[in-house]
Amino acid sequence: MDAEIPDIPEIPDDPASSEPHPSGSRLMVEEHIVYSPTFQVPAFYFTASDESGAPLSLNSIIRSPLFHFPIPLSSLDVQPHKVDLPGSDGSEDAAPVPLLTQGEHPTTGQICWYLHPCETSPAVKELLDHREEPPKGGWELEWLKAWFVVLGRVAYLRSG
Amino acid sequence: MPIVQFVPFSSSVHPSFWHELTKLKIDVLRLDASHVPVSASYTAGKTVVDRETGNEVGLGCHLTLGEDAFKPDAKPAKHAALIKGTMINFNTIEDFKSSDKTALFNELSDRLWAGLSPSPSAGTTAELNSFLLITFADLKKYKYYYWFAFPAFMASPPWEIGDSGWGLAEEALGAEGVKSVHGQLAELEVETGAAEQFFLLRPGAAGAYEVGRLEQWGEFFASVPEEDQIIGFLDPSSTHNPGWPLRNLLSHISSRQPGKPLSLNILSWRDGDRPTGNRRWASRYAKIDLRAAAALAEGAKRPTAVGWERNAAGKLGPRMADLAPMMDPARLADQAVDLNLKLMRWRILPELNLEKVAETRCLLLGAGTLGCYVARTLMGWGVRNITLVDSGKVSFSNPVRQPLFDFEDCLDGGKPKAACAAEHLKKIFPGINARGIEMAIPMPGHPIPPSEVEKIRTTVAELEELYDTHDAVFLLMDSRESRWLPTVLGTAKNKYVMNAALGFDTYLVMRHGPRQGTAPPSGTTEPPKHARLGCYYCNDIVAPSDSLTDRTLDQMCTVTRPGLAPIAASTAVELLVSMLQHPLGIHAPPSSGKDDEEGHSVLGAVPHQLRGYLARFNSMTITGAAYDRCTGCSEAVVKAYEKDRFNMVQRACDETGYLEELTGLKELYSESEAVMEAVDWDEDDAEGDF
Repeated sequence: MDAEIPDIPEIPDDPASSEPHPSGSRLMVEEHIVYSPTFQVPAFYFTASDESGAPLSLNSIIRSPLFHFPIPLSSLDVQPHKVDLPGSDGSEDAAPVPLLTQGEHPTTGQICWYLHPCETSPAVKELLDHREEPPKGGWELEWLKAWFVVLGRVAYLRSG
Repeated sequence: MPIVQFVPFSSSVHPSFWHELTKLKIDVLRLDASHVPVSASYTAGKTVVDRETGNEVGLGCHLTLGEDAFKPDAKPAKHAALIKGTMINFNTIEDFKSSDKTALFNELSDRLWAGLSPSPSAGTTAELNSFLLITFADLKKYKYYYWFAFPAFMASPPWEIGDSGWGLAEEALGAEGVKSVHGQLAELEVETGAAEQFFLLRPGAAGAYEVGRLEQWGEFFASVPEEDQIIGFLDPSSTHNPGWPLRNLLSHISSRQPGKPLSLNILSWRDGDRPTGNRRWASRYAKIDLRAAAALAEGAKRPTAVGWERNAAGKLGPRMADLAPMMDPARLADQAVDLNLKLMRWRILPELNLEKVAETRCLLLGAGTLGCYVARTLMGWGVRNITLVDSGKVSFSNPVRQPLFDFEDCLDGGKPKAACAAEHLKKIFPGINARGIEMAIPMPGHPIPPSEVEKIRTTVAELEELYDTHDAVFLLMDSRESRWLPTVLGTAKNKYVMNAALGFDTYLVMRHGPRQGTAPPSGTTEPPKHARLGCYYCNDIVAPSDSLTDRTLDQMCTVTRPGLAPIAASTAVELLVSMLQHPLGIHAPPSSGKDDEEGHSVLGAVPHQLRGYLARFNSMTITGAAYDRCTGCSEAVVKAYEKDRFNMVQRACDETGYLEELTGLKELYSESEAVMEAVDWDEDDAEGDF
C-alpha cells in the first residue's frame, strides 16, 4: 500500500504472543507428473507461489530448494519465461530446446512451468541400455523408475 | 514459571483462492460488501532437515486458504483441520483502507466469546477459533490486497508452563500410548472427514489411552481424576512454542470454571502420519497452569482479544498478492503464441530462427483481399510489427473476401480500411503493434493536379519514412502503375520487397532482387554467383501508364476467384520467411525446390517468382534476371530518384515518356525501329517456302 491506511487497529501489549515464525519465505509448490501428448513421454509440470499466492519468478524458482542442477547456475541462460542450457557447440547461442519453460498443463489447462521432455527419452534409454537382466516388474515400470532417476538429476525429489 | 508464548498464525494463500475470489466477485458479489463465509485449514506443524546445515528447520505455523475456501461443504486435505471465518471484500481501495477494522474485529470476537463460553451442550469446537479476512481485488491489475485477523483472548493472569517446558509425548505417554492415540485420531478423521482440532485423553488398558471428543468432556472425564485428564490439540506450530489454536481452547476451559486456578495436562499433537525411519514422534506434552482466573473487569463483555496479522515487513498493515504475471490475459496470449511457434522449432526444425521473423517490421501497401490475408499469416508467424497503408474505405462487398472487416465497418460510408484493419488485428491479438495509415500513393500516368502537389509531396515524404522504419514491404495493390514508386523506394533503400498480383484465376508472387551494386554482409558464404534478380517491371519494355481510367466495371474490381487471394497472400508470406531464414537474405540465389538445389534455406526453396494457375491447381517457379533499362529498379531510375526525390516522382507521374527517356528505353525503340526499316521486305516474292 503506497498511502497511509487511515484506520489501523490498536494492538494491546501481549507478552503471550511469540514472534511469528522467522524461518524465511515459504513456497507453495504443486508438482504434477503428466503424460504429455505432444512429446509422448511423462513430463514434470509444477507451479510455485509464495505465501500471498503470487507466482514466483523463474529466477527464484531455479535458485530455490526445488532444483539442484548439475551445472553451475551462472552458466544457465535465464529469461523471464524460460531457462536455456548453454549451447552444446559452445557458441553464444543457447541450445534450441529450453530446459525449463512455461506451458499449459495437458489436463487442467493451468499455466505451469515444466521441464522440457525432449531430452527425456534418450536419457532414459541410455539408463535402460545398461541393464543386463530383464526386470521383474516389466519394462514399463523400469522405464518409469529410470525416468525418476533422470528427473532427480535436476529436481530435488527426496522427502523429509 | 515462564509465561506460555503462543505462535500466531501465518496466512498462506494459494493462487487458486484469488481466482475463486475473482469469479465470486464478478459472478455473485459484484458490489455487495457483506460478510461471506469462508474456510481455511491447518495441519500439524512440520519440520524438515536443512540440506546444507543438517539442522531441523520448522516450516512455520500456517493457516491455508485454497480453492475450496468458498465451498460450504469443503473437505480439508489429509490430516488437516478446518476453521470457518468471515471475509469482507471491499469494492474500492478507499473503502478497504478506511474500513473500521477495530469494529469488525470486535464483532467477530464478541461472537467467538459467546460460542466459547460455557454451556453444557456447547456447539462444535469449530467455533473455538475463527478468522476475519478483509480484501480488495484490483481486477484490472490483478493485485489483491488482504489482511487477516485471528482473534484469541488474552488470559489475565497469563498461562504459565513448568520450568522443564515441553517434553516429548513419547516420554510422557509411552510408545504404546502415543500409537494408540494416533490410531484413534485416524479413525475419527475417517468418520468426520477432518482431523480433530481438540480432543480428550484418559488412560486406558495396557499403556494405551482412550480418545474422546471435546464436547463429551462431562461424561468422558466423569470418573477420571484431574491429574489423569489430558487435553490434546492439533498443533500447527513447528517450533518449541505451541500454536495459536491452543489459546482459545485454554480460554474455553477456564471459562467453564471461572475464578478457579487450573493445572492442565496438554498434549500438543504434531503427528499426522506415523514417523518414518529413525524419526521420533513429534508430539509434545506439558503441564500448563493458570494461577487464578481473574473475573472479568467491571462492565467488560469479554477478555481483550488480539490477533491482527502483521505484514511481510513485520508491521501492522495489509499484504498484497501480485498475480499479474499469471493472470493477465494479454500476457497469457503472448506466451501462448510464442510457445506455439517454438513447438515447430523444437519438434521439427531446430535451426529455425523464429526471432528473425518476429522482429521483421512489415509494411503492407494495400489493405484489401491480399492485405488482410498477408497480415493474418504474418501474425501466425509471430510478426509483432505490422503497418497497413490504404486510401480506401470499407465497402459492402469487402467483408466476405477481406477477413479483417465486419459488416459494421461498412456503415456510414465505411471506415478507413487501413485503420480498421489494424484495429481488427489488435482485437485478434492484443500483443500486436499494428498501425493503419490512410494514404494515396502517386502513380505514373496519373498527373498530379497543381492543387494537390503539396499534399502529395508530404505523402511521398511519409512513405519514405515508412520505408526507413520497416524491413519488409508487401506490394498488394490492385493496379500495375501503383507499384512503381514503392518499387523504386524499395530498390533505393534495399528493402525486402514482396510483390503479389492477381488475375482471374492466376497469381504472381515474387521477391524483388537487391539493389545493383550491393552485396551480402561479409562473413557469410561466398558471394552469389547468379545474376541480379529482377523486379515487377523488369520484363516490361514500356513504362507503367494509366490502366485505370476507362476500365469497365469488371476490370475495375479486379474480379478473381475467391480462393486465389489467400493462396497468393500466404505464398508471399512463406516466401519472405524462407528468404529470411537464408543466410544471404535478400541476396539468396533463386532456387526452385528440386531436391539437389544448394540454394535452399532451412525451410526449403527460395524461388524468385511463382506463377500459380488455379485452373490447373499447380504453380511454376520462374527466375527473371534484372533488366538494365528497367523503369522500376535500374540504377538510372534509382539514382535519379535519390538526386531529385519528389521532383523526380512528379515528373514520372506527369510527363509521358519521361521514364522511357531516363532509362534508355526510348533509344531501344528507335534502334528497333531502325532494324525493322532496314529489313528489305521483298514484296514480289510470292513463292517462298514457309
